Amino acid sequence: MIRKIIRAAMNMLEYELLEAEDGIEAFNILEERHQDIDLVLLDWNMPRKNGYEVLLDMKNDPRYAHIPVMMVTTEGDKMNIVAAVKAGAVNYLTKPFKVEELIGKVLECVGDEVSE
Amino acid sequence: MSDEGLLYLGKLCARAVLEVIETAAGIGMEIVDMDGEADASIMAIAALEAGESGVLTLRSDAATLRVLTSYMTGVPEADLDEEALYDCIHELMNMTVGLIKAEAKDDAFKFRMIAPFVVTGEHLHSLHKPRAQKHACRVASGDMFIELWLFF
Repeated sequence: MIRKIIRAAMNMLEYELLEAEDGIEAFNILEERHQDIDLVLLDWNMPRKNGYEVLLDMKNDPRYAHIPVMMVTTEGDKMNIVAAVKAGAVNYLTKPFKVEELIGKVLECVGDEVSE
Repeated sequence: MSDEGLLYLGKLCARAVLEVIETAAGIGMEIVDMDGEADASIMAIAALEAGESGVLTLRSDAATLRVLTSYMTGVPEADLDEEALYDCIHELMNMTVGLIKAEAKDDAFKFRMIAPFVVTGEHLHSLHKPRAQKHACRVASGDMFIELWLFF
């Protein structure tokens, strides 16, 4: 559901969105397309490998450490936000969110520097 | 759980669902009177575990969820399959419990949600032991509705 909402927002921005159903698939996409990726949005709750684990692995891998990460989590898990920011996330979004808020935060993270 | 505690939690749940729908879908709903269970065809169920433990169900129908999903995702209603509606109520449950956890003053209500799942069918009813504590409320806008049932 969240991916559908994010997809709608990225369509409005005319950004290409690469989607993963779980943390393992996210890492597979990173391996294949990391040169094209300007921002990673991670939902904390993902099967197989959660968003926080993906964030830690990314920051420990020199191929991906430079890619900005924004965490998406529920309002009640604000301690997760602290952990994610300490681990290197550049921004966060708490659910529920308005699409405008998502778009604003994505633009904060990537600005006009989107890969061709 | 005390009756006061259940009433407090019921109000917290209702406010959470209203805020989730308002924020995520831009639709304002309000708490309405209940005269028995609404005719629900889709229900999200989750166990809640904290100092107190119980079950929360969100009951609704396809027509309501189709509108909410469309507003939340920008996908036209006609293009939504049933899976999208199930995802919607599942995510509504997730966000509602998250807000309850954020707003609850008492740690006993800072719930961990366990094994949420969705049930679909016709004329869904929730059955419970007479001794179970329960609290129910309905939020609605026009014909759209979501019922919240708490069981402890």
